[in-house]
Amino acid sequence: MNNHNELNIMAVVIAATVVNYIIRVTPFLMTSWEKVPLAVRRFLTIMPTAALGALIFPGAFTSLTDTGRPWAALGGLGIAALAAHYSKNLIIPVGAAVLVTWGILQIP
Amino acid sequence: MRQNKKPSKKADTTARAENIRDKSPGSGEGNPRDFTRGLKDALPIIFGYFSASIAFGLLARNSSLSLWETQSFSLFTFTGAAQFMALNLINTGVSGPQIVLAYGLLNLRYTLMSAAVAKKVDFTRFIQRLLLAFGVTDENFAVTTSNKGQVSPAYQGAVELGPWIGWNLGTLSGWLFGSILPASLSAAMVASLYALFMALLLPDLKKGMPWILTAASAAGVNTILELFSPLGSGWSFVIAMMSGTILGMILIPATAGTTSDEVEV
Repeated sequence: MNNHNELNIMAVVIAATVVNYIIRVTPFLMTSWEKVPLAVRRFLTIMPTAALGALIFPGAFTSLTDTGRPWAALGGLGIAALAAHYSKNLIIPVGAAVLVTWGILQIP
Repeated sequence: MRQNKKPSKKADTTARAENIRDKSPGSGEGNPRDFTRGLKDALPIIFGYFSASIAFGLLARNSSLSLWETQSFSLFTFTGAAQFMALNLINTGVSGPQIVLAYGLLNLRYTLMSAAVAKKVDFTRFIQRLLLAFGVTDENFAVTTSNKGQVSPAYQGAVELGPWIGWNLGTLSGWLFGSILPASLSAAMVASLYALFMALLLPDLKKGMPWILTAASAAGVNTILELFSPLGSGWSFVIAMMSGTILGMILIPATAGTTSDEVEV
């Protein structure tokens, strides 16, 4: 637990803050998107769909590894998809998924 | 500059009317309704972040970080996965520069996400670019890009500020009281983030098979790389996202995909 006694945590935080900000701000400083090639714009339009796929799998399952029931994520994702199909309000699928996941984790 | 080309006053008025119609409901730099709408859209993220960061605060305290050190991570870097990774590295005794390098690598994906967000926002002032660049995350990037058409800086500000507050309140609560929560409840609350992703993905999936394959291929590649390759989750994610997008560019007709509006057709 005390491995980091010699490590200056605040120095790590400051350096990480700078690195992170540079990564995030660089694309914001581009002012003209009209000059960006069509292929790049297409890439940026399609990318969110791919990103969401990769954000869900396998994270939804591995986040439940500690509970011993990673498959419980199927219940949460299923009800979220169903609720999102019928409602445009994002809080409904999210609330339903938490309830279902919690319910599955409660089953003895 | 564009107005110079308009010859008559009538054309100018029409253009202005169109401009207003184009941009509503998402324009005007300080529109309070946009801000409220942004907060509403971000509500699931705020909820999910609050829950996830309770775990961060608790873990940080267990790794003997002080409250201020813990809180600084959340206040200034605001990066879910990377903060957990940093704790892990701190505990295993990795040196400072290596931790910072790992932080940068894991967060390189934000370059692409920031680019997509920057393209969506109608900036009116330079300072907005500097401020709004700070808070782009996987989740609010997904919410912003799910909007049809452009969004206003006020909207984007709310979509970033709300989750940032949630993430920091959760961190604080986790450090102070995290040990009280039952494990099954905190695990289920983290599930809210994935439910949010699913809810955001569903409209894309309804657009047809090429879109389904785009998401599915990224999901498959990421799962295989994360579970069976020595790459860290940062690289796995970037590779999966790139390969899914490239497949999508091949499968999705070129008429769709210049702006999100056209994709909606």
